[in-house]
Amino acid sequence: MTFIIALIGFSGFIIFYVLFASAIIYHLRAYVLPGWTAGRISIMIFIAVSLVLVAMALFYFIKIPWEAYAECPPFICVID
Amino acid sequence: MLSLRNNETVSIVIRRHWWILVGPTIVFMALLIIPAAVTAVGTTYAPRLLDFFAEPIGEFTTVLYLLVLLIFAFLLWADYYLDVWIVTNQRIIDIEQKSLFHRVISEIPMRRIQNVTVEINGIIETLLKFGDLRVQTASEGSFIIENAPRPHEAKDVILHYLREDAENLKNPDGAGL
Repeated sequence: MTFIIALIGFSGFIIFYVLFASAIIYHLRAYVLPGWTAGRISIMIFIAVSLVLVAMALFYFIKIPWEAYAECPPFICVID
Repeated sequence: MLSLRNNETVSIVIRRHWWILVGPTIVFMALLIIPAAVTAVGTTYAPRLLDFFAEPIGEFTTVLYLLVLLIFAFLLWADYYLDVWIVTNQRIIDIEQKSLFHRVISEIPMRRIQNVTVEINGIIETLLKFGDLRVQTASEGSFIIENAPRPHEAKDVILHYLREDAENLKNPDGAGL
């Protein structure tokens, strides 16, 4: 159950991120003159770094023992 | 994509001076090192906090934090990059990116320009050669680009096209020559 809630939250974050990033990229493509390359280069760098970070987030998300955290949340429960 | 008219050429593109990005960049760098700082402080003062960041949930939280920082840095860059004055031989196009979905695009034909004023106010502005460039028009009031780099050069270019346009009006046969 905890995993499902976390997955919904993470999916919501990613959807919001993609929509917001798409809006910025749209503006950077729509309101430039043909010769302006810095905008395109920044878009490519942003997409590359975003993909790496999203992949890392997904990797760590899968590694998290959600059900164990449901029983023993971090900072609240101490296992000795 | 923005388009130009026939026989229209871009002379200069004016963006705000890089100095105005220094403050946000320092804040961004400070926010970027927070996870590393928390880890360093946690080693001494809060071992449980350190344990949290060593676990997958801590690493996951850090990556989400970096994603949020990245998109805000990109938004800041887009705002800087799209907030621009394009001076062509026929007009000035003022694109003011107020926020992501709030943009004001104004066009000032050269023949409407009445006065161009440069204001450099401050030590840093004087040393780094940037200041406010104000263009006054006959009908729409004044347009201002704040923190324009080398505003005197920009003013000279605008006045050059202004004079050229005035001469073309006087001698229509020689227009464009």
